[in-house]
Amino acid sequence: MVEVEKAGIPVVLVTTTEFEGLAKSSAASFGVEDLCMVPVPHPIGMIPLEEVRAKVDAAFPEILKAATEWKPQASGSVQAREPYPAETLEIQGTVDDVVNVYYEKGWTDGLPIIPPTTERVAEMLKGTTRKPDEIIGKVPPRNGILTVEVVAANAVMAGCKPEYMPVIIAAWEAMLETSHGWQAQTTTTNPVAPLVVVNGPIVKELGIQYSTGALGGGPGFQPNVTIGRAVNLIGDIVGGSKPPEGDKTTLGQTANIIAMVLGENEEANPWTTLAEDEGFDRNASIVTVFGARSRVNFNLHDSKTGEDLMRVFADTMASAGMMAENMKPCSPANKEVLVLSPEHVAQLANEGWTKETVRTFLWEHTRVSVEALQLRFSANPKKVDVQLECYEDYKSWDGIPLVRKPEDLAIFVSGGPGKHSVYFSTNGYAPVAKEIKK
Amino acid sequence: MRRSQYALVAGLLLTSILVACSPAATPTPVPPPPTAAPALPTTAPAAAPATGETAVNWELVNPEGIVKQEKVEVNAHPASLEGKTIALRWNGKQNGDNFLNRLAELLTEQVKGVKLVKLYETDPWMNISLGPPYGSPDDAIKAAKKIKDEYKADLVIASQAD
Repeated sequence: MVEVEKAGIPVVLVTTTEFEGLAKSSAASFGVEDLCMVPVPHPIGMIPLEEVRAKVDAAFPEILKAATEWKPQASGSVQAREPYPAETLEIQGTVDDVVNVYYEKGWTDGLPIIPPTTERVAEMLKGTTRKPDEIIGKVPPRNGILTVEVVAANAVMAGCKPEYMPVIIAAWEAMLETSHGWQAQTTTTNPVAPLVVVNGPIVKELGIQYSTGALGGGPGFQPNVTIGRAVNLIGDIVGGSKPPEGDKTTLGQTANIIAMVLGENEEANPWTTLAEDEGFDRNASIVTVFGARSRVNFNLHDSKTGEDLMRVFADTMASAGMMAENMKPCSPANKEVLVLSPEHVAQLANEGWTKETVRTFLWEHTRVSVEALQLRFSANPKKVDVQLECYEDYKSWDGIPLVRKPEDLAIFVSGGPGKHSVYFSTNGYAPVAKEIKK
Repeated sequence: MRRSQYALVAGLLLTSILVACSPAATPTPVPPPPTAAPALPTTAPAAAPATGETAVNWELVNPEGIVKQEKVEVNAHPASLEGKTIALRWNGKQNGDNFLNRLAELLTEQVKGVKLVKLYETDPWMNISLGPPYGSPDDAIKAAKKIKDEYKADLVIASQAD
């Protein structure tokens, strides 16, 4: 609607009470600080038609009034400061006092932070050759300007070591690519959280965990946990994406506090790595970021063949990814994620499966019928029609596939001994890979 | 567990409580002070002052990043809707179209000469979030241009149902 206002046409946005705040901050992030809005009682979706009509009848006088009498009121809140250097503040007190001030200002994820003193931030900046005034981008929905210095402040707060800085910067460079759609990913009611996969020599240089419990935590997991925390702190603080406003996730997930960071277990991967699939050299240090939603663990200890294993993968991924989650045929850049455990990938490779044949098999078998999809969208059948139109030839297929083409299945190896592979349903936006530059 | 086993467990518990509450027969030796401070974990950067319980002066960095956004001036609304063209835009969320359909009925009944364009019928491609991942980044601009140039709308009413 911002583009409509920019085109010279006034807008009345009817939103529900629960989403008025997000709509306002979202419009403000595009420079429209005072978009005309009429809130109606939440919800509109999934209520009987008579109730919808009654809500319109009740709101109609207000909508008419807004359409003809509304005047902008915002005074404007443009900040005169330059992005660098960041503002400093002086506090007299204990560590607890500092932590409490940061709580009060909303500069936390709910956990205590390490105070970002000017000395600590200067120390953190030694972990990168990037200049502190370099702007990485604007982080939506608040559109705070992310400088390298601001990255460092958040990295201190998260408990990072200076040498982690290049990974955090690369992750945010990836997340701020337009194709990654961070604005939508972080404000949706879906529980989207960053899944940050690291490839290349930097995995061992920093001690990023890629084997047993890589997504867990513990004394040896400092890079995974603190980089993940820094990534999310930047989203929460610079981006202003915190529930209940900004981030509208219905329930959320713990990875909204500490983003999922893990290395690929390249030694256990008999095929190409994730970074190689993205077009990078195997010796380059790369970060790839996905917007992850649901996570399904494949607890498969008893598959006689690799094909048996994959049939379970396919049935589950189709159901979880298209019925519990939703199909994304109109999202050409979307990729769904399968993290193979070393033992599962060994079983497949030993039987002669390649990454390509695995992808093709899964593409052919992760299918849901059109009838099932219509049932899923029973109150909104038009949505199925619109989505199916995004396929050119779906009528000739035996069901609708999870992804548009086999290459849209991102497959990599991570984790330690055990027979647990994992499927992550993603949010429909492009995963983005970036080289980690020190 | 049999009754005799319960009695045994209860007895042991009582004994341990009594022992724990009794004055120690011999005082526990106090360890000598360490000759050097133990190495700090490497978690925190070296500049961290170990002053958790002492009030000191802190110079801290604001981690928020500033906001610098060019302001978009919103447009004046028409004084009356009579004879005006109103485009109705649905974001694809369930019931939003039903909401706009009822709104269209009321507008037609109560506003003389109003013309309505139901974008969700004329241009279903606008019914989903415009731009990535569903479309190209300039979809929203394309939609706005069509609403202005082709439909010549005086006002857009959008239903952001959820």
